[in-house]
This record gives sequence, C-alpha cells and structure tokens, in this order.
Amino acid sequence: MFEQVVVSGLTVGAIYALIAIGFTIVFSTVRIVNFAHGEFVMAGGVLYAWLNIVHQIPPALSIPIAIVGCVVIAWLSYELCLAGMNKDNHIAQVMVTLGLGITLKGLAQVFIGKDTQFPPPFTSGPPLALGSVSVSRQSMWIVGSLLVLIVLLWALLQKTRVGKGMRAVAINHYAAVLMGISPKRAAIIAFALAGLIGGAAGALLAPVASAHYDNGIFLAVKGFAAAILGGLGNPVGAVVGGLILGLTESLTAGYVSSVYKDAVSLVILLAILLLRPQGLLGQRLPNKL
Amino acid sequence: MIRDPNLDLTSTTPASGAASKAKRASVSVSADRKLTLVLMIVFPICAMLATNSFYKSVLVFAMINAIAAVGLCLMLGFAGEISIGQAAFYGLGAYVTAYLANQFHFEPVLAIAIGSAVAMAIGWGISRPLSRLHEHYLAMATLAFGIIMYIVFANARPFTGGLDPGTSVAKFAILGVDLSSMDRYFWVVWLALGLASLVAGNVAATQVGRSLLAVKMSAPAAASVGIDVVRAKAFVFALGALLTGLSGGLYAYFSRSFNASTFGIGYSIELLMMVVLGSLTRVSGAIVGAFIITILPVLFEHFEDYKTLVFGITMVLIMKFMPSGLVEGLFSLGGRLIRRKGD
Repeated sequence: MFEQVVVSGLTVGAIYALIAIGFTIVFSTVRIVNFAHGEFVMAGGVLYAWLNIVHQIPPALSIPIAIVGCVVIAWLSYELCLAGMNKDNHIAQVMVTLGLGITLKGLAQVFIGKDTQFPPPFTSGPPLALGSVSVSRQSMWIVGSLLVLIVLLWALLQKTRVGKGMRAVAINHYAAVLMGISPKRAAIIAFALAGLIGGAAGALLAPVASAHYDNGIFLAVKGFAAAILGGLGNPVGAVVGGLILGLTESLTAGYVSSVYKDAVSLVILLAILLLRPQGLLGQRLPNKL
Repeated sequence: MIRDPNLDLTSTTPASGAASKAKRASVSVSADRKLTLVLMIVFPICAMLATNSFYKSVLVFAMINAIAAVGLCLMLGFAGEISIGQAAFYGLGAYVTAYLANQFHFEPVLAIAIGSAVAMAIGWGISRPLSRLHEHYLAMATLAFGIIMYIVFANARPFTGGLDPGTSVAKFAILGVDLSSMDRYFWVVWLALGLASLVAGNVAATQVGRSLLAVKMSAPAAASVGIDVVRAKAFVFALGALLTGLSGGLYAYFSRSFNASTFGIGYSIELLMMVVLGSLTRVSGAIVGAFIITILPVLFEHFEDYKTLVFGITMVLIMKFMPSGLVEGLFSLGGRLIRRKGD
C-alpha cells in the first residue's frame, strides 16, 4: 500500500513539477505571475483528446500537434495581451492574465466542446511490475518526460546563448538591456517554453485524469503551490516543490481523507506564502520600495 | 517694501495649482455620490417599469451583486488589495444566515446581520497575515483562500448541505410581516444597497479613503507620513468582507434554495469583472458594473456558450487599454474631448 501511494504521488508530483516549471520561467524572465498558465496545460490535454478522439489522429502525431498548438497559444498570449503593458501596474497585469485564462477557457468551450474526455495512454499495454508495485505505462511516460525536459531545459539555460540571455534578464533587466539582450525576445522564449512544457504536462495528464475545458484554474493553483513551495523563479525548486506536493496529496488521500486532498495543497500554499514567501529553496530578497 | 511681481507669481502659482487639484478631487468624490444617488432613484423606477416578475428578480439580483461589488471596489480600487476569493465571504454570509434561520429560528434581519459580522470577522482575521503580501502574491493567496472555502462549503455537508441537496431557507419576513415577494424584497435590498453605498461613499470622501489611496500608491511612503498600513489594510478587508457577507445573506433569502456551486471561483471572477467594468475608483462605477454583468447573460440568453469567451476578451481589452475601469475610462475620454473643444 505505502509503495503504491508513493508511486502515484510521484506521478502526480511530476505533473505538478512540469506545470510549476513553466510558471516559474515566466515569472523570473517577465516578472508576471501568469494566471492563464493553467489554461495552457488544459489546452494541451484538450487538444490532444480532440485530435485523437474526434479526428482519429494517432497519438504519435496528435501529441506533437497539441504541444505545438500550446506553444503558439502561449506566444500569441504574450504578443497580443501582455507585451507593451505598464510593468508597474501589477493589478492590471494580474487582471489581464486572469482575463486571458477565461478567454482560453471560453475558446476551448466554443470550439472544442464541454465534454470530459479520456484520450488513450501514449503507449498501450499492461502495467509494469517494479518489485511489489505496479506502475502504469503512462506514469513511466510522465516521469520520463519530466527527466528529459529537465535535462533539455538545463542545457538550454546553462549552455546556449539564448538561455544565458534569459538568465541575464531574470537577474537584472536593465543590465541585460545594456549588454544588448532583448528582454522582449527573452519574454517570448519564456512564454513559448511555458506553452511547450505546460502543453506536454496537459497531454501527459489527460489519459490519467481526463481532459476538460474547466480544469485550467485548478491545475494552475497546483502549479502555483508547487512553484512557491520550491521558491518562485527557481526551476530546481519547482521540481522539488512539485514532487513534495504530489507526495503530500497522495499520502493525504491514502491515509487521511480524499475529499480534503485538494485543500491540503492549498493550505501548504498559504502557509508557505505567509511564513516563508521565498520558498523552501529560495533566498531571502530585500524589500524594495 | 517693494514687492517683486515675479516672486509673487511663483509663490501663488503652485498653491493655486494644488488648490485646483484638490478641488477637482473633491468634485469627483461628490460627483460619484450624485451619480450613486441617481442610480438609487433609477432602480425603483426600473422596478416599476418591469412588468415581468422575472425582470424584477434580475434587477434585485443585480442590486445584491452591487453590494458585493462596492465592497470589492473599496478593496481593489481604493486600497489596491486584490482579492480573487470574495466568493468565500459571499458564501459565509449566505450559509451562516441560513444556518441561524433554520436551526435557531432567528429573525431574518438578525441572521443576515450575524452572517455579515461573521464574514467581517473572518475577513479581518485573514487580513492580518495577508497584509505582508503584495500584488501577485496576494492574488494567489486570496485565490487559495477562496478555493479552500469552496471545498469546505462543498464538503461540510451537515452545515451547508454541500452540492446536493444544498440549503433552503424560509421566506423573508420582518416581525412576522412577509416581505418575500419580489416587489417587497426589492425595497429590502434597495435599503441595504443604499446603506452600503452611503458607508462606502463616506469612506471614499474622508481621511480613511485618502489613507487607503496612499497605501495603494506606496505602502512605505504611507507609513512614513504616519498611516498605520496594517490597520488600513485590515479595515478595508473587514469592510469588503462585511459588504460581501451582507450580499450573501440577502442572496440566501433571494434564491431561498442554493448549493455550494454558487460560491466557487467563478463568482469571485465575476465580481472582479463588475469592478473592472465599472470603475476602480468610484462607488457608482461598481454599481453600474454589477448591473451590466448581471443583466448581460439574461439579454444574450441563447449565447450562454459564448458567455465565458466574451467575458474573457472584454476583461483583457479593458484592463489593457483602460486599467482604471471601463466607465472611468470613458469618463476621462469624454472629459478630454470636452476640454479639447474648450481650448
């Protein structure tokens, strides 16, 4: 029982980690808390389900199309809504991303429909036995994708010119501008990455937990909680936070009550915000005037 | 002693500039009050003209929402405290009212008063820890609070009835006089909205409102001129929660049968829309916004599927191009055009 709970916790945690990574990249580069991020994840799942079930496109093709769709959605979201807004008016930014989230939800509702859908797992077959626990193939896909994406993201941020530019913008916006780095380009790449990783998370999650146009805000809240738990703006923290959150939820559901498992992650989010806003792995920032 | 005209000029110009600015500010507050008064007169006229009892109930519902929107307008527009969890206070007001009325047979007015007071106490309670947080973090924390409360409403079934079967309350009456028909209940809600806008107008027009505006602009600067920032935030949170709780209590008697799905995140976002659509700095704007958001879905009944999409696009466009609210933005646009003509 315990091992099984841990395995399912790590699977869910890997999804939360993927959501949190996109959220945290956007925050560190653009300084926007993107309340529409959950809708990118929703879009990944819903597009995959729609292409696969309605249009009969096999997973090998429909998954990449869904993810590319999410990248385009994320890029357009930034380009059309957020680029050129007053950076100091945080309330307007929050409201624009909220409105953007509602818009994406409305688009999914109008163009794809309101049905809950279960697309097939990426590869079919019986669960694999790892010692005493059985692990579904989709769980392997989820954890495997997290590992691959982490390595690719690390390589991008540490080894390439583009990634170094993004980190520079995150550390000091003006200094980066003076060094000839375009913050707008960094922002577009950050949003595209958020769309890519978020869309992948949505497609990975859909066979396990269904795809529905109304899921976005809950996925976003889980992603926020994970990102804040690990320290906002820190991709490693996002992964650690996601896994801790998934384990906690799964243990709560297994041993305490499945009804309040969602409340547990939200209470953790509130507690971290109030007691240690920099997150478990973050460093304390000075208050700016 | 020879007076230098230049010196005289430089000494008076800034003073008169400041005076005219102060005058303009005070004019806008009293203009806001006049507009609110006009609205309070327009509502009964609309009610009299509404032949259909359905339209009348839509009007009453719009006024109930307006009370909550006025509360959020004070929080968001005056103090800059964003809250995406207002549905929690709305639900608290409704459930405490219903529980007291059903279990202890409280007089409805008393039950609503206690329901609002409970919402206020909780709003005050959470504002203390939340006052450490700003913009993005505050938005997230209030969102989490709203969802936690929704989960509690949906699952604490002995108290709330959860999603199914929900809760129902008896007819609204004062001292045994039945006031539950829409014609009579209209006046109850009208009175409550009048009181709410009077309180909000007083807050806006006095030192309290100005200190909230100062906190919104810069909390450290406000603290440096002697404003107790934590206290100001606690005050506005408590007042916002009180008004939202009041509107929840009135809603309980308005719908008479409801379940937890009413108090989800959707309502919190609708309230934000009302304030955004109206004005972030005018009480009357919030009332207009509440009116529009409540009426629109009724007018476009067969566009139910497009409601979410239209709401979302409207919200993005308004916040991107008129960050202080649609009605406010149109006002200032109109003002600019008139001034240009004058020149």
